[in-house]
Amino acid sequence: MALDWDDVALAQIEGGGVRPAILVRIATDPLIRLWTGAVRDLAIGSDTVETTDGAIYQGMGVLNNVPAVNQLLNGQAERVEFRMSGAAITGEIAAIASTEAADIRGAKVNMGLLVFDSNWQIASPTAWLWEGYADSLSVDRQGDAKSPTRTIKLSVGSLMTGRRRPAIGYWTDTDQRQRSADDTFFDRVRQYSIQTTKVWPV
Amino acid sequence: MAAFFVFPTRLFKPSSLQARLLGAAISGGASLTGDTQLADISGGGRWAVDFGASDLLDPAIVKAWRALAAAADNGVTQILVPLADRLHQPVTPTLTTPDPFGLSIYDDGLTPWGPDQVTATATSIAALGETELHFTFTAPRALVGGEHFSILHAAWGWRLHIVTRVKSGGVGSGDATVIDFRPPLREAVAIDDLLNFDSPRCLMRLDGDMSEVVELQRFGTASARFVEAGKPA
Repeated sequence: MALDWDDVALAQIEGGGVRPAILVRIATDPLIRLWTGAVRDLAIGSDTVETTDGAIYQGMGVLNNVPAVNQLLNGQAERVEFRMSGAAITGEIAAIASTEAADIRGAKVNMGLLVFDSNWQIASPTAWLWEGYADSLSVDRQGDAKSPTRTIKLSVGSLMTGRRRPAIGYWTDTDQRQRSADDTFFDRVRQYSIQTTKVWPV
Repeated sequence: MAAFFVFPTRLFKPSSLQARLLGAAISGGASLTGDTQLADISGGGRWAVDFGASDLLDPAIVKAWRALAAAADNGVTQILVPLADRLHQPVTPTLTTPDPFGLSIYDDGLTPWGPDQVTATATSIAALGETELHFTFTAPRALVGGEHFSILHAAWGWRLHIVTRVKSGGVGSGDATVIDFRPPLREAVAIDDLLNFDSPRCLMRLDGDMSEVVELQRFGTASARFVEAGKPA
C-alpha cells in the first residue's frame, strides 16, 4: 500500500521534528478506534479503510504498545500483540471482554499513521500500513502487589496466519496414528533413523 | 455542572507552582553529526501541575489536606485544580466579586462560574483538536501570551490551555482577538462559549502520594502533583 501523503506531510517529516499519530481500528461491533494521543479524541476523515467521515479515535493513553509489523517475505506468518491499558478500559473493549471472545475473533484490525502540522492539525491523509485479523483477547497482570500493571492483550494475525493444525505430512508413527489411532504400520519407523539406539532383543 | 472535589490552592497556598505540558517525544537516536530527530506521538500533550511545599499552619488546613488526600483515592478521583496564579493573568490582584472557589475542598457545582474581571466570549466555532480561537476580549490588562485559560466543556469538563501567541487584538477593550494556544481543544467550542482567564482550572487526578507530615504535632507541610484526567464519568 503506497503512502498516500502530500508534499505538506512529507515536508513535515523532512523537517526533523515530526508529530505523528498512530491509529488502531478494530472492526468489531461496535467499532474500537484508538490512537496514541494523550487526553484527547481525534476526528479523522473517511477513506477506504475508515468509512465514517469524522470518526472519533479515542486517546487517553488507552493504547500501551503498538507492535512492530513486518511484510511477509518467505517467512513465517507473523502474529503481533496490541497492548491496551486494562485499568480503565473503554466501554467497547469491556463489552467484548465480558461477552463471548468469539465476537472479536476474525475482526479486521488496521494500523494507520498520520502526521500533524506544527499547530497539531492533521496534515496528511491516513496511511493504513498494516491489516490483520484479531484472534484472542487476554488479560495480563504483572508487577508486585504494590504497583501492579494490568493490560489487555489482543493477539492479531496477518492474512497468512492460521489456527489450523499442521498437515499430516510425514511417514511417522505420530502422524499415522492421528489419521488412524490403532494403525501400527509405522510403529518401527523411528528405528530406521541414523543414530537410533536399538534395544536388543527387540 | 457536576460536583467535584477541589484542590483549594488559595487555602493551601503552596510555595511553588509548576504547570507544564508533558509530551511523549520519541528520539531517533543521535546521528553521526550529533543531530537527533524527534517525534512527538502525544498529540499535544497533557497537563501536569506540581504544587511545592504548602505550610499547613492551622489545624483546619491540616484537616482539609487530610480529607482531600483521602478523597483522592490514590489518583482515581477526578479533582478540579485551580492554578490561582493571578499575577500572571490579565487581571488586577484583587477580585472584583468575592469568589469562594479554591478555598474549600469541595464544589457542589450549584454556583456556576461567571466572569469576574475578564470577559472573553468565543466568536466562531472551533472544532475538536483546534489550536486557534477567535473571541472578544475585555480585561484590565492586555494579553501577551503565556496566560492560562480554561474552557468548561459539556462532556470533558474544565480543561486548561495556555496562550502561545496573540495573533491580533488582545488589548482588553472588547476587541476581537485571535490567539494560538496549546494543548489542542479537548472538545469543540461553540459561539458564545466563555473563556475563563480569571481563575483557570483543570480537571485532574492525583499523581503519587500527597500525604502530609505534621511536625511537633502542629505544623504540617505537604506537596502534591496532579496530571490531567480523562473524560469525567
